[in-house]
Amino acid sequence: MIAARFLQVKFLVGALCIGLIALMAIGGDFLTPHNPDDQDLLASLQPPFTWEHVLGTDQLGRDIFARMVSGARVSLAIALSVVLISGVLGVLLGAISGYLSGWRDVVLQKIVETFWAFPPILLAIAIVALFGQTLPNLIIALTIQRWIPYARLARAQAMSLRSREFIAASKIMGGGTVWILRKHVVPNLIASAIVVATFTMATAIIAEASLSFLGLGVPPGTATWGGMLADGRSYITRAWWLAVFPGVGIFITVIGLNLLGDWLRDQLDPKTDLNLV
Amino acid sequence: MLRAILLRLGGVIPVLFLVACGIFALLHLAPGDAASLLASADAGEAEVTRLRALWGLDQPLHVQFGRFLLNIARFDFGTSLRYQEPVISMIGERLPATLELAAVALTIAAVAGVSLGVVAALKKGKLTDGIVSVVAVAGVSAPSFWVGILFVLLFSAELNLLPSGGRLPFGTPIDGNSGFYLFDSLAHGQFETFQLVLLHLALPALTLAAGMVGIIARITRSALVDVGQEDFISTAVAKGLSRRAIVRRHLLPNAAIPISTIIGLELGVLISGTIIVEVIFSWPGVGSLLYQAVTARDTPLTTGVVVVYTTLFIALNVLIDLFYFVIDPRVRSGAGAST
Repeated sequence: MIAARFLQVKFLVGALCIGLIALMAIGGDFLTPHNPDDQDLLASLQPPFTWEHVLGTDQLGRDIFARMVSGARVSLAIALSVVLISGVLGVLLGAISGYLSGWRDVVLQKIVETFWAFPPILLAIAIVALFGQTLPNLIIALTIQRWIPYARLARAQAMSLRSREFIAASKIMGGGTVWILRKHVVPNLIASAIVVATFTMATAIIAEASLSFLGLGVPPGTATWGGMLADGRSYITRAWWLAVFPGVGIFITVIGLNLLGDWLRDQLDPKTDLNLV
Repeated sequence: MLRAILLRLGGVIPVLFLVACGIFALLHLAPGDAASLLASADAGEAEVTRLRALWGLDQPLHVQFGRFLLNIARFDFGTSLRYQEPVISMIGERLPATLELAAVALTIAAVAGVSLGVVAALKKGKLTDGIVSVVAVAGVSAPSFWVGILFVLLFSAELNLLPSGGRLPFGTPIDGNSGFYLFDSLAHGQFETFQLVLLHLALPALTLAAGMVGIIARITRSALVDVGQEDFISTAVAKGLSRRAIVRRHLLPNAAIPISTIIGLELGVLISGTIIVEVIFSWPGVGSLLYQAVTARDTPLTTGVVVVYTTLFIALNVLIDLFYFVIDPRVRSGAGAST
């Protein structure tokens, strides 16, 4: 009873957080008259909570809210593409690895082990640093370790699916490997992949912001949450709002995703004790 | 047991080899000629040719790879382009700072996380439990660079309680040369310095720990709740053992395995966290060195730090696995030799 109520709260708060950020990203242009890149040096470092600049202005007089809107778009777009690419890649490789087993499985597991041996973020930093700071490189850098959780889960599930009757039946009826993978294995992996996707999106948003914070994110000139935080750091004693608000944006997005992920996991797997999560 | 330990240690070699392959591939796939990546931007043609010969880049690929492996095995990463110093000595100088920070942060996270988890499990379903789980989700969701900035804002800028950067004020006397300031100052009886070292550690270590406390608390709680439903706990209760004795002698030892597993998994967060946290708090460790290397396009230094960080990460993971031998009698007796 209490558990069920707690679960509902998780969903509500999570959905509220994500709804808020999505609204900001999509409808931002209607919410603020300012352009994120318009400088106004006479209005620099304006404190927040005024009608003119709801969240204040930065050192160049740019409107923080307008820049937050731009940052939300960048964050969500990058994180979504990372989640989609790594999801498709991870589920397919995991399904193949688990369903076929044998040498393909061994090879794939070695690859997984190798990628997993790098500390997170480090590999991403190395890739952006060596290959250059472009949007495709950034997405590759963020994807390179994120397909692994999908692959691991998909592999484990595909292995257990292999011995189920409906797979055996379709083999007997002459179903080819590709057909079985497409019709029977992969569709059964989607539900848990969605749960992984929610958590992956949360880590992707933090990682993207971390890279932007280190000056390794999207090409300079675009307003991002991480980049705003890095700029705001130098003005921390004079203008707290520069660094605080972008962090609030990241925090709300990530906490929303984590709560929704928890909720989804509980929905899909009734066996887990709801109290525990 | 010895066999299992040796097997685990032996399993590291192929991983290290594959990681070396990965780094080699990265360096070679990167756009541009590897020699010009390794040379500074204003290097002349002669310098590039010299480097090409030095790194054997004029040789066939397999020879290059052999030389690369040999260099890495000797921890010879060449000379930093920016600082003109051997990369390995630069890393060696800064490694103790990173290790000290990571160790203190991990200790804080483990102690706070396990305590919070125990409290939440004992008060299951009560308000305290709810507060702990809210703190847990919040801690995981707040990016460390933001938490660090908030800490600086509150404890340094507003309250003026704690320093916001560096390991020690410039010119503070410190004897010893291990590079571990806590150890050095204590071993030489410099208690004032020791105090200063602690104060400087406080904010970076807390920032680093903040992201881990929540998960550790959550796993501790669920492990304890699981163990709490076992029959031997009912027996202990029926025997009339005190609550404290049950928690200490029966609950915690049995929950130790999932707890140390999650602490092991958090090592990744810890290692990556040092990079960001060191940048925020101008901590003179390997993480901020990586940042300098990357911003200066210093490829030898970047490669060196990546290799050292990854080796450290792999070594810590092995240590965690070996720790299972200590805490789990089943693994020790060989029943769980699969690890």
